[in-house]
Amino acid sequence: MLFLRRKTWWPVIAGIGFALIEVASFYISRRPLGASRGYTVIGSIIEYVLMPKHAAKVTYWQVYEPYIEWTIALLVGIVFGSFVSSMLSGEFRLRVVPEMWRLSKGPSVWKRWYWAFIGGIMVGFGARMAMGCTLGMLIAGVIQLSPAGFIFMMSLWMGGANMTVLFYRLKTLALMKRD
Amino acid sequence: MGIISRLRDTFDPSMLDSLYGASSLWGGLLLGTLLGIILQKGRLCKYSVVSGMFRMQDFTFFRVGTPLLMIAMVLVYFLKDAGEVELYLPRTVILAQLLGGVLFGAGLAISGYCPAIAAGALGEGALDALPTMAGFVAGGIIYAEVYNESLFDRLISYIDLGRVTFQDIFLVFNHWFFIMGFVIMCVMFLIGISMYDEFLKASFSIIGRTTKLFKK
Repeated sequence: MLFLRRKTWWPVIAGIGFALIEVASFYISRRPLGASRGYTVIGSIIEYVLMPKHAAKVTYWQVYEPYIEWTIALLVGIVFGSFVSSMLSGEFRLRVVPEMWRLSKGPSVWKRWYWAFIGGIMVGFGARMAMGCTLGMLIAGVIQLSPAGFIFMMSLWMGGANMTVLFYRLKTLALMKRD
Repeated sequence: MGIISRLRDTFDPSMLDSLYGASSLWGGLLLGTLLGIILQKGRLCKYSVVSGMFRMQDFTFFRVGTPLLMIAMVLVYFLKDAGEVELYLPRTVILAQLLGGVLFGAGLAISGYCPAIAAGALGEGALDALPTMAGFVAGGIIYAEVYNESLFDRLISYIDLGRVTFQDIFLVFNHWFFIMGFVIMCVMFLIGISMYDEFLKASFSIIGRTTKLFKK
């Protein structure tokens, strides 16, 4: 188990492992990997538990029914696997503000968490609009040669690069730091 | 009392029966654990890597993603031709995916975590993944409550091609033409980006430093 104790793997090895997991997902679970559906189902569960009469009227929750399902198990598994891996290599450490954010936006915790929440809303809304996230739409769409994946890949890059220039104001583009 | 019984309603114990099938929880847990290990070892679930991709400083995502896409494409289509797996195609709605992708990318540039990577970052100890995950849930709820089936939604989902692939659209009789073209492009891109990351970046900085020395 020496390779699990290493801090990083060479990127091509990691990519080949990721590809084998994707194929295993097609073989075991009869569907590609996908993550953003899990968060939407969690939202559906929250609405169903807190106000069931209102949740029955929303038509979108007919598609995303309030049952714990495959994608939520996948998210729990990702948290567990990442925790085990970082413990084995000794990289686990609690941190509230990433190093690169501190260099470009300052050390304030509330600012980081506020912007993380705003960005999370945009990501969640955009993922529902595009009917999938980077796993379920980009990777799964591209490997099945669907035009949806390629369109999503291009538009994600356009939005991300332009927003980086607007939000970080170009002056931190020269910073080279990793945490 | 009602809340607890409703919370119990959301869990279906029959999902724990087998490993196979799209509704099995064990399959999701197993695949998720392996994926979490890969995400952490590939150095993917970090804010600085995601943000560095958009700032054109860190090419880890390209170097992991390119072999991922080409190998998974070849294996999935090979197994599909052998009759082992079936394709699970997403719907192609052109305008919705353009606008949704731009919004998704903008949020990704700000928060730095995409849905799978936020879970990996939480496992690694980055606590700022928690408000991001709360934001994903809130975004889904806002979509369902406000946006779904509004006028704008109906307008942008007008061009709906359905569950199609490129070989259906262009009427190509063999999909391996597309796969071979994609693999050749991927290999060239991977060689270029790896050379830049491993070798050319260092040599550029050495050249820059020596020329600066001569200017003095």
